[in-house]
Amino acid sequence: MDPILEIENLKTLFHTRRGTVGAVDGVNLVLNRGDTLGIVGESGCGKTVLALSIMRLIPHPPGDIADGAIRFKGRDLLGLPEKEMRSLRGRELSMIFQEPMNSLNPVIKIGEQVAEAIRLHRGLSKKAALAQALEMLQLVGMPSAEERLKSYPHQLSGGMRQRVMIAMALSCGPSLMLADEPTTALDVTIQAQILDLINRLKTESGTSVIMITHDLGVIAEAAQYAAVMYAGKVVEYCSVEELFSNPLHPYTVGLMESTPRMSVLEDRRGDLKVIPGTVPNLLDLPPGCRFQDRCSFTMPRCRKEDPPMIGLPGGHDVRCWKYR
Amino acid sequence: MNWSYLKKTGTGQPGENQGNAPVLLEAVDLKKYFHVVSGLFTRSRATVKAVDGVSLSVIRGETLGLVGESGCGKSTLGRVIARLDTPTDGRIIFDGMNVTDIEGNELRNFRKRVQLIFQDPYSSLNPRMSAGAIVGEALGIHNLATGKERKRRVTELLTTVGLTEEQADRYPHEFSGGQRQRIGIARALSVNPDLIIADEPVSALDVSIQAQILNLLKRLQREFGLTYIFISHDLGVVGHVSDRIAVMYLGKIVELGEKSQILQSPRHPYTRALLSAVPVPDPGSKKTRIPLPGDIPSPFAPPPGCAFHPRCPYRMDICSTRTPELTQCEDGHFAACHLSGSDLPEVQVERLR
Repeated sequence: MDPILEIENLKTLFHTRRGTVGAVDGVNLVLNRGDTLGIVGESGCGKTVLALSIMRLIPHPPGDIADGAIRFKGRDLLGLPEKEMRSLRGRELSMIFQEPMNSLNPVIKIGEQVAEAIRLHRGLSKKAALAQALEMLQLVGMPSAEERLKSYPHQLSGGMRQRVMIAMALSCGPSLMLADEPTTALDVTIQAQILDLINRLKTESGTSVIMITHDLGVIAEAAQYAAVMYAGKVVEYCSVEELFSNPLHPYTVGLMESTPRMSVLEDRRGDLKVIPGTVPNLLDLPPGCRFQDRCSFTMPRCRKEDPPMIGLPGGHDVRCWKYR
Repeated sequence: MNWSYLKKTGTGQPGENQGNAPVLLEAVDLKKYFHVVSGLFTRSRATVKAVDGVSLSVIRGETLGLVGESGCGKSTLGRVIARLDTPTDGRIIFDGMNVTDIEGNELRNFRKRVQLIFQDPYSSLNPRMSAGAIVGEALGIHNLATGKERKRRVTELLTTVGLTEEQADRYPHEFSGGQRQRIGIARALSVNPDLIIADEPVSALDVSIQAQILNLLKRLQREFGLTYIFISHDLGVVGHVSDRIAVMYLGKIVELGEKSQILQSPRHPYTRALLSAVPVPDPGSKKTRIPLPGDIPSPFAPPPGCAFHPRCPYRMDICSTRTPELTQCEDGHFAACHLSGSDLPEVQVERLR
């Protein structure tokens, strides 16, 4: 066990006119060197805010990392001066976003954009950086990479733009890469290419990855460990094999059962199992467990006390009174 | 619940009529070309063949799934079938009537029988109209109900899709994504249609909400004997809801068949690759992914012959010169591939990996 990232009791709040929202509310996670940690959850569960908190890219105000620690290679990122943080971003920590079109500068050529990070962080000359950029684009499997150096983002397809983002993210050999829904905007065949690419690069370079997604299939294919988030909290954390063979939290079970599968055996007249209701309003949370209103196992205790994370054998953590 | 106005024609079995297969809608060699003027000074004209010779029939009471990746023309096909776009060529026969060129009153009557549900419930609802007004609008347009009667029907529709009477006075921004999609469904249902074309109806929704909407659509199909054309890029969703599935690639249907035929014994290499690319929520599953290099080609310049040949692991010489026709390879199972008569050799895939 060689943790590269340890998150302890992280609380990221957003102060809005209608009150304070705990978007990430007491999250503890550990990521070991060379592993991929999948974070899965539905919109608004705090998974993106968690990633932005690690990068310290939470806009302040209204955002505010109020409590906790994010130890990266033993150093608490939250205590670093902005200048040091800036030199870590891109070099040691990098991030890929869902929609590459929004993350690339539309009026700068691809080659220059990839080379910029290399120049800034590694102090190479413009020419050497551009040569390095070409190498990176070839590494991520960009077709006719040399010509693409001179292309603008709009001239590329979605899959190619995501490759550019990955090339940029990997250009300085980061120790940790955060991928926020990297394949959500892509078609399945392109998604398969990008997931294979991330897996391959990870094995080759030993980079650790945090993969944020709403798709359990992506977690199963790309991650070794998984954390399920609900309403700002991690409700289940374990290895991926354990998660799919032995899901414990009622929310995880509900998510799995409500995902339609391409099974022929499944009778289409049979309805999907459903998680009733919707995610609770973070401004107006009920006392006790946040999943109580949608859960089929709610006990009186669930309505009074918020369940703690309960550690079970096999490194399986679950936040549910059922297992106490 | 009083179903007085919403006619209940179903007997609880979707696809019940498949034995004698009464066709509700038939598309014959349907084409939709878009002409794009490109270049600021050159004025060169390019043609996108968004739908390029599609023939299919939709059986009353069934759900026909239409899958394909972005840009394959599945949405355009849906819009042309609903006559939101006029086809460039080909014919649409709806319930025995040629609706390809109808206008005016005839078109309005057709619209009463064919409705659409869109992907994005945020942009397909008028933000300045209340939910009740949105659902009731078509009742006025088609002179189906006015005054108190309209109000009663709106209430009935809202409760049918799982909303409440009080919510009729609220505006779209006051609803969640799933609830907005319910409003869209109630609006489609208001004119008592035969066919609903659902274009990515659950793609913008979270998994748990998606399941609620899929179950609702299924219930409505049972209760009102609806026929669905269900357009989606998500093979999991299409595989769940459909009776039959049509797979599209660059404006053409490359494979069509019963759900079990498509999922269990796909004949077209593209269908195979597509199925193998879907991430499966089972870390133990040892499946062979058929690598599909490159992107979908530009629809401005589709490759000659079979449009899929540059990415196809089975490509032969003939593929770059002759376009394969959609031909029947077993009962009700069609594929457009020069190899469709034979089984695709498994060995070759292994070698390519």
